[in-house]
Amino acid sequence: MALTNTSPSEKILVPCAHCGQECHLTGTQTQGRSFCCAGCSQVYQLIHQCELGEFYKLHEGIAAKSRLPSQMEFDYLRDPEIRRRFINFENNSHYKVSLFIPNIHCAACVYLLERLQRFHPEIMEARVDYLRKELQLKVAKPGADLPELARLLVRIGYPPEWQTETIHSKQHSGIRQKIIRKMAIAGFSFGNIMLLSLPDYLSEHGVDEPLLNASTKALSVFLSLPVVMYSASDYFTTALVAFKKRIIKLDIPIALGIAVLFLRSIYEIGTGVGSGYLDSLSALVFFLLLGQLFQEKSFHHLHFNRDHQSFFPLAVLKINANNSPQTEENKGYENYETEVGIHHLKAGDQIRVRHHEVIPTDSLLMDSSGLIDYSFVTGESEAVPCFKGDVIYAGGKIAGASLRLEVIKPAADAYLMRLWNQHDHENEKNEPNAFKGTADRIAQYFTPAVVMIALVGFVAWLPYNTETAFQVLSAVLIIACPCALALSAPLSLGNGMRLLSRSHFFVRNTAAIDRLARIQCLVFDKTGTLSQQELGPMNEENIQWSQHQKSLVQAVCRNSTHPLSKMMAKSLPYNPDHKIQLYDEQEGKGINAVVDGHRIQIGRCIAENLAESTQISFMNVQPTSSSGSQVVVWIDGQELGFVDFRPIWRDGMENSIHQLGNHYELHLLSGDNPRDGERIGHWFPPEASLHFMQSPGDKKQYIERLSRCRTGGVAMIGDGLNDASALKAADIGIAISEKSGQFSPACDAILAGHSLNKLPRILAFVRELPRVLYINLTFSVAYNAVGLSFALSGTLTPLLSAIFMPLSSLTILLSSVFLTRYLAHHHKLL
Amino acid sequence: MNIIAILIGLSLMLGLLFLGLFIWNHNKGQFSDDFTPSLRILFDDQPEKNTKNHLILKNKVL
Repeated sequence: MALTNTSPSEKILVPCAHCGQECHLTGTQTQGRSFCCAGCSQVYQLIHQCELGEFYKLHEGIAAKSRLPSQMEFDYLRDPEIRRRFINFENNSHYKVSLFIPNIHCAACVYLLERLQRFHPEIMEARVDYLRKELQLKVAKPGADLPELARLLVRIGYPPEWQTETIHSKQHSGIRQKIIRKMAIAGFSFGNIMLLSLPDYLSEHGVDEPLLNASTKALSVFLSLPVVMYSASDYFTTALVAFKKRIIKLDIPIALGIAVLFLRSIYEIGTGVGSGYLDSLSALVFFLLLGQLFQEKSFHHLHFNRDHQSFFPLAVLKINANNSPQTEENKGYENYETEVGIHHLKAGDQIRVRHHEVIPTDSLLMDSSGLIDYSFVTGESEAVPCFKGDVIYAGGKIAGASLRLEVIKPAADAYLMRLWNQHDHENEKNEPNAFKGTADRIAQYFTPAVVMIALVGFVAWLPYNTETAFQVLSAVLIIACPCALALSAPLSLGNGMRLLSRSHFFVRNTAAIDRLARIQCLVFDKTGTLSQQELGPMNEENIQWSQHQKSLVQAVCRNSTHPLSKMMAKSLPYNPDHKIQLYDEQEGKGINAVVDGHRIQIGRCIAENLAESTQISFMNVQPTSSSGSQVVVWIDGQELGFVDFRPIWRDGMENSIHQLGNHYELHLLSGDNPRDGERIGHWFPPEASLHFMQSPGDKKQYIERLSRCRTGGVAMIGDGLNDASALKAADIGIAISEKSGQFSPACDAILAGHSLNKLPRILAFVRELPRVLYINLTFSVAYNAVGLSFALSGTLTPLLSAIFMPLSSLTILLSSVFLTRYLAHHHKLL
Repeated sequence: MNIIAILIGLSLMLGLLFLGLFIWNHNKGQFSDDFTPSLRILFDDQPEKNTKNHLILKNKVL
């Protein structure tokens, strides 16, 4: 064995005192503790130096691994354009910055990060929002700048993720905050007006003392002013906008109802005819806002707004030619590398992209050859080889050694960027005649009907009694105010959204649920959606080899970085005794090696010409591997056969697709070759259309064509960047995500991969959600009919109306919540 | 009955005071994060604030 000269004590494994990873007892040691590496030991000392030893009691032995950043790392954060994205507030003495830190996962993280000021005296305050994984820092000026803070955070194991902007969540909570403020004021007025109206409830004439009576009435009017002017202001503004655009929206009858309720109350109080309905008015506004609050429910840990830009790095290593001005640090180096923001890249710049980094823009390869993983862009799981002078497209990931590239287009003009940005423009254009929700569609018929009834009543009474005519007009408008709709729609949809999240189906907003209910057509992506992202176990059906031959091949494979080689190395038996005499890997073609005197060749099918230059281009998708994930093995010139890796299909997909086929028109768009098509072809009903070898652009165009000729709309279910533009083009884009922290493109809903087989039940639930709305509407019409008859007969006392209106809102609230719950139960989603 | 007028005025003042306090705290973000405080209660010590005046007294670790 290789490790013969080590002492027995080195074999004793103990957990590292910092990160908990197993390490040798006599490895790196500090203060009598064992560490897996020098980095962990340093952080451990640093934390103790800052008297934060309690961290280790809280975190139960698993801390994030730290990394020692280099002196210059993150210097690109000084760039004012980049810096502005993170700074929330800045004045002469300090600034506030908010950072997204995905590593925050336990109480110890909160403990350590909120005591960040002990690490650095210029940090004035640190605050963590655990659910959003956000760290807010208040830093003194002039003091630590962003690069210094970033290096500190990386050092203690909490690297910030720069691509995700934290501002999105703040904008969202801004709407919520506004609703809560409005609700607080409406609730306050509601309670106080009710208190002041107590005498009216108890006797018909109110308080006997005229002065007190008048002043309480005046106070009520005064209290109701902020409700109408501030709390209900949104209804008036949207109603006005809708009216100007000649669209009938739900907000119009609501605004009309509120306005008439207020004016009639003023009239009644002013003339002393009655005591008005100011209490009911504030209660109504309060409940309407409550419904809106329900609708504003959001999922803190999910980012629906991540677009392609959050996938790309902020900065890249730029290789400066030797004619650029030299500074102290780079003296003596011919070429030195600095990190620059990608928006500074110009055509002709040379950049270095390291292993696993994303290529920021279209460029030419300067090194002799390289491997690029385009899985995010094309969905093809296998890395693509490319050679000197090839054009490399933005969005690919480097697999293997770092590459030197020459930029041919600025980042904003890269092919994929243009594709995505173009779509953004189209979207903006379509916004005005955007989708109408179920509630708005009902209002389209409801509003003219109510106005007609009110007008007919008014005109009919006018010749006989002007006063009664006005009373009838206002009574109809008040009672027919569709508060049931306005309440029930956000409540049932918002609650449905919450219930769906328990099945790991996260919807962006309630409008998306509403649209999903009317979808007619489902389009699936294959790789990563119907199948899991990783390839399945190695299939040895088509190969015959001995144990010895297997271990020979393993010896070759373990030297390669190619993903398929790595997987073969993992599944074949390991024998450390094999000696490799010759090793020659042609990137993406295969390996030619001599092991223990045996000539081993593994690679693509022999029919493929090894010398042929493979032009990669995903514009007119040339599948890079016609043989897919097959690997052919030759030993001593004799072909043994091939091993292949098949995708793992997700559990229960066959059954789910059958069920979905009963309700929806199904389509399949795959970037892959049709090889696996036969296998899943019979899952789909015969009338379903299956398309293979689709590029991102094809997918997008297909969806656009489809959604033009399907009235209900098209839902696209896909994953990764290659589907990003299709997801955006669809009426509903559902992104499949393996785990919640993973990148998901901009979409309307995120579904966890393991819940995909629940999709038929989820969609059945969503389809039936509008029923809750119809039930509530019928209910409130009956309710209002009773109320109307009271009002017209003149027997509606202030007490009765004070009980009646809030009670009807409350019943609608409760029935919406319980009916959605019942529906979810019925479809076995809970 | 005049006492009622005074009482109404006082109760309204009190109500407005609480309304103001609620909105003030809400704007400050008192209710925006309802989870992290449940973790903070586990810690024995309280994080102290660095103020500009203390900067000289503290020795820089990094």
